[in-house]
Amino acid sequence: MFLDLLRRTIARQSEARIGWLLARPHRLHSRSFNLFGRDLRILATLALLAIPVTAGPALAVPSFAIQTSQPCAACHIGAFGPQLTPYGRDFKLHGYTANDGKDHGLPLALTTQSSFTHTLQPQPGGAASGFRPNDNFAVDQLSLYYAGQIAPKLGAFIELNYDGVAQQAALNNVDIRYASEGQLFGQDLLWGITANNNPTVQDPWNSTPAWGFPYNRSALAPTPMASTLVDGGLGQRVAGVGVYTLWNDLLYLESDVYKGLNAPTLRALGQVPGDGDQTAAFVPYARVALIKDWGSKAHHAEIGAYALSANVVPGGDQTVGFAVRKTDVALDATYQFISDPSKVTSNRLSAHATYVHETAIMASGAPALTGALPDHWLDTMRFDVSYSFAATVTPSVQYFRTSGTADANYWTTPNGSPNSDGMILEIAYVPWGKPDSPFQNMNLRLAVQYVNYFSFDGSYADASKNNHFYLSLWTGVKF
Amino acid sequence: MPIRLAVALAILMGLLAAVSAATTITVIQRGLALDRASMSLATGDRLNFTNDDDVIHNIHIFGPGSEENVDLGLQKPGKLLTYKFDKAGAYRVRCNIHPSVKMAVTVK
Repeated sequence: MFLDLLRRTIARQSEARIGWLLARPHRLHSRSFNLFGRDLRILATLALLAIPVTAGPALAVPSFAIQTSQPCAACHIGAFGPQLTPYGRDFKLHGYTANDGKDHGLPLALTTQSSFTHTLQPQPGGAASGFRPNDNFAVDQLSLYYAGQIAPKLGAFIELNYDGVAQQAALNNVDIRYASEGQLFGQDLLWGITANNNPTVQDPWNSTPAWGFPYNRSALAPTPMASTLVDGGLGQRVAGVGVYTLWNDLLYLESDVYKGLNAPTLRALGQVPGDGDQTAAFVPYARVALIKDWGSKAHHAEIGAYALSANVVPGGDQTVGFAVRKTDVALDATYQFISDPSKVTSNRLSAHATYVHETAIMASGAPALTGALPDHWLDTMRFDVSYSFAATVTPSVQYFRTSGTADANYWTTPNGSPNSDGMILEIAYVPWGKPDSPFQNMNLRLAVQYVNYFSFDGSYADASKNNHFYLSLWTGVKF
Repeated sequence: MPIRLAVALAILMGLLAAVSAATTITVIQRGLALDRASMSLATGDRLNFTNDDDVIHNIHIFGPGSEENVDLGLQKPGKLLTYKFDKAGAYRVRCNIHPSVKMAVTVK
């Protein structure tokens, strides 16, 4: 259904350039690409997607840029989403409603992600259904956004996407906001309401999971099997509403409650119910952060915490259908330095850290039947630093580590350990999205990423075989 | 005749004094912020707003009544926008594009 919507909308807007591709969805179905054969046509089409359609500014979600008359670099470190600048956070907290006063029509945008993945060792049987064991080209995602103001004080970020690896169209991240301002104790108070479908997708700092580094990653490379619930485990599988406040540009508070979506609803939205954690219960989520800007806004620091708790049935038949009570408590921090706040192309340093501690308590009776321990813990830690040169070249590095209770009857790893750690090195190049860019209605991000595992699913000996290069091209075009 | 001349000169001097009493103050917009959070003006004073950033701004003045507002429009880098505060009261100045660009003005 969503693929049809995506196809119809895109074809209406730019039929001459891209209609032929989307009218033949079999061309996008996952399979190995022959770079020197007819698949060159698909790559050529991806390039065409980046050709200007109409005039106007653009960025990763170009409709935001159009609405505000701002270049991508005003909101995004490195001139491409999703890493936010102070203004990007302000824009989000104010409900995506800030604007230049002009009528730009519906805030629709299109992005594409295509990639090449090379793993150190081939993956027997293929990297995914229809792909070769190694050296795969893929159309990772085609995404259609409604992103911008709906009414005064009301805005939305809604993403429909087609996953070219999973061959699945789905409703992706949704964040609909109402924001208003007032005063409390003589100081400015910003408050708002968010309706969203992914805990932390509503968060304005990139130190929380939904918008954390890496901002894109290979869907064709192995990834560790253990992750915490707040780390994407509930993404697009719940729907929730929350209230947030920012007082005196100092204290941020948020409280949300989510409800798990049932299997028919998940299927209707393009999700596969059994692929991830399922819950039918209410899920409380809370967030607090202290922030400080100083040095004429050259420096920004944030330190915070977030937590959620849910009764879930782990996906992949991990517990043979028994429920597990998972509680995640997390700390996070952000620091940004802007060398010249008056220039959006000035050099910028960003650092993010997050630590999540999860406890998982199995339902009574489950340990006896599964042989698993009754309680488990899982810790995830990530720390990344990036430095953006002139909003054009942005090298980044991240260290990540996951560790937890070893239990061969709980984790589906070879030795029962969920432990993994490693580093990600990335360099991204973004030619446009700046005030003087020649192409004002489009942008692209070309990135090379190398993921190096020191340990993987409890094993040090075989960890390096999962190391991989990921070359990605990300384009954004406004309608 | 000398009396008439003296009266005319007095009126002229009064007018000049009145004109020179109104001041113009420049508010610098830089780094997505105004260089002051609040200020007090006398009726008739004027504010000049600069845009020292490399992106487009806007100046929108709300007040003194709850329904009164004047949108000075978009402000490209380097462009100067100006506004004369003719009424006493409390005003709020902000950029519609950048919510953090704001200041309070009290006119007496």
